[in-house]
Amino acid sequence: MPGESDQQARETAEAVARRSYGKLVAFLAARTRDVTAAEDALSDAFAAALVDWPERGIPTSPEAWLMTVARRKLIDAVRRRRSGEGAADHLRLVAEELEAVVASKPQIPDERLSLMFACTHPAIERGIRAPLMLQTILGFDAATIASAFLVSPATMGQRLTRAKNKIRQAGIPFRMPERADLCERLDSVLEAIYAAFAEGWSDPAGTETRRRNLAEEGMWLGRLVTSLLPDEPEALGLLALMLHAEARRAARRNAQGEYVPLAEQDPSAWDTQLIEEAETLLVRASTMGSVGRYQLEAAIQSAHVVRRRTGAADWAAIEQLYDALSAMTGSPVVAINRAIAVAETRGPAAGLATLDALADDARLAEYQPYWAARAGLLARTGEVEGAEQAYQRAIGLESDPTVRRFLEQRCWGLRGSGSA
Amino acid sequence: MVGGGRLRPTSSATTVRTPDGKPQVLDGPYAETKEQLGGYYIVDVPDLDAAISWAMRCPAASHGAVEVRPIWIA
Repeated sequence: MPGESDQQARETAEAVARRSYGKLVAFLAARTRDVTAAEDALSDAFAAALVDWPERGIPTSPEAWLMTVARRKLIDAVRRRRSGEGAADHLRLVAEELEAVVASKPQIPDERLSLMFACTHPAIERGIRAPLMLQTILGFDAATIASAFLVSPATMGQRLTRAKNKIRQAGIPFRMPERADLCERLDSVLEAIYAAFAEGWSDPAGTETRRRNLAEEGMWLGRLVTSLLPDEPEALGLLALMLHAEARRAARRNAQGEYVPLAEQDPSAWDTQLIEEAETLLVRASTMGSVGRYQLEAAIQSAHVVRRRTGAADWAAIEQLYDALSAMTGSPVVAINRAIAVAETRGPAAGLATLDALADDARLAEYQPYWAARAGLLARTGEVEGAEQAYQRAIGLESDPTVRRFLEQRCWGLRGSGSA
Repeated sequence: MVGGGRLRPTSSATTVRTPDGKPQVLDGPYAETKEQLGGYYIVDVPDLDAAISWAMRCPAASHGAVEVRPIWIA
């Protein structure tokens, strides 16, 4: 039945796209430095696959099939567009394609790390590095990335195009940085990977396959970086952090799909295997004698999940770790979390005082977790009216309906327990 | 006529500075008002990283800025 094979071809094409997109872009772009042309050629190849595969069946190696078509499209495009300038590149491409045909095993080497270093090069504007990686490695369109980074799709599209032009015109290389620059350059790569992971993790129900896949891709990229650079403690720290977060994915919603905060999660719903793996990575990182942001954040996760063995989170350790993290980053978000830890170690009034010290930061007026934390602490000190107002602010700022419902229930509960 | 060349657009430019010996690499051209072009070097290198490492060695990078800009090659 044509309908069925059509569906199957589409699913296979989509599966290959998810798994191989970045690899194919990296391979093509590394040879031409033209990311846009590589992406265009690939999108043509995927379109061709959707026509060809239902008719002639899915090829034995879909990745190699796509690569062959994409290379051909790329050569066509080079020939059309830059007859003078591109002649040398063009000839090299043709030679390489012949070489690939001669090689019997169409194994495509994984050059995603080189592509990541190109996307996060210091000559690329800082704010566009993560979006650029999301697009080139994971194949996200500008509109999806724009919504995650809170800018208009048109602006994001322009900035991505500009960055890709910069890579091509300025001659940004696709390779590992020199040892002396590695630490700094790696930091940019890790930052972008974490941005990808966080985007996927924000969809706990896993209803959107592509977003859930983003968390998996984030971990996958994290594993790739640690396998290629095994002696980088921050790369290990980031992977440990992502695994810890992922381990609690299922516990973040109850059977009815309602939001469950970390403190009320059932530890038996946590993924023990992922937690163990994260702990092993963190221990390995700690032997390397260089503490960084990701190791600290992973250690905080670790201090939370000791609850599965001891029945209580290690709040003293959590407060200390947030102290260190706060000193390192100066982030108001870290400071809010530190206030929550203070409320556990020294009582809600002390937590509230810590939070009050942040109230001048204008950025927090629009930040849901600040108001939710504030509401929770006010409720615990018996200030029902203040708690209600803070909950209303938090509810108004939250876009996830399940979290909003959770906050509403907490807010209603204030009066319920007080007046009943 | 002795020589000349056509520069690629400013969007392809990278600015390099080495104040206190610590290298700073930034996206974009050297665009400070009331300053002027003090000279130029042409280097033939395979990629931007190689060009940046030459720019860093230039004495001007320590007290001013060196703009790295590719030229069109016919």
